[in-house]
Amino acid sequence: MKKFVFNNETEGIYPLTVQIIGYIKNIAKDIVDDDADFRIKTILIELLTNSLKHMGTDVTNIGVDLKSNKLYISKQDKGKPLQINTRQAILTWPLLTNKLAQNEIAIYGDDFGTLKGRVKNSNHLEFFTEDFDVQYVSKETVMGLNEHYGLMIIARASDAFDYKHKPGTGINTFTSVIELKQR
Amino acid sequence: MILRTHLLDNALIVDIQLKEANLSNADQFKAELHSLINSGNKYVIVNFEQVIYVDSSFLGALVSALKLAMNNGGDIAVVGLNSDIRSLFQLVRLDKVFKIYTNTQEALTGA
Repeated sequence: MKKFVFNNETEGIYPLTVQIIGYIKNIAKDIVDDDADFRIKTILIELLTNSLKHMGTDVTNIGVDLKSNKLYISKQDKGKPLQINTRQAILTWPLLTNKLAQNEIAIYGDDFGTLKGRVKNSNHLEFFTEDFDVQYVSKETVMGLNEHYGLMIIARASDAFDYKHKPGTGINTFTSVIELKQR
Repeated sequence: MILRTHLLDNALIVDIQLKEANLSNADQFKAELHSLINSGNKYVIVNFEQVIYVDSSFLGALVSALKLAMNNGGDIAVVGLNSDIRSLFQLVRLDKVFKIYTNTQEALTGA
């Protein structure tokens, strides 16, 4: 796995994104088409933005790995664990057993879709989205729009996206997986 | 100021003078756009021509401004999106919410 260091400065987001995409295009020469390029760029920008929001001045590690045409992009840090304010409660890590029993947690959403988390164990949440086909966009639809898109964007741009918290070390890892297609 | 504005016909053209539309300027963008809408500008065309990428924070600010505009009986159209930004709008379904045009002239004629 190739590692890149993000210093959590806004000015570093775009140059690091360009650098990592350059590396990915080099290791996955013929399998990064325009769609994959957009998805990778979007995921990187949102992972780095997420880090900027939650990490302060510490550094964040970005890992890139390619195995059997699957691209793994991970973000690892020792910042605060992922905080999710669901309509019912604020999630804390390790997840409480009543959350485990729910299996799926609605994180946020609007008429167009919901971001959900599937509980894999008390320290592992797998994100996915439920999308709805909206035929008519009313004023009420607009007024109900979500204004927080970060995790939703990564979940939609990825083929798989999860979060793991490691108790003891306090390490948080987000991993996005993109299945690259041979052209 | 990150927004440069001028009136054309009955619309306010708002040029975003940023290359990177991200977390560091989303709050200022939101405040400036809200102020323009609260000043009575009903139809606003936001021009992204100079912007190379948009992050989730900036999108959230744009959505917040659309809610304000619609509450005031107005609307926001967006123009000048590069292919990545247009794809991002599609990814979060905002292409179904905002009127998207290639350029200002097209937006003014509602093409």
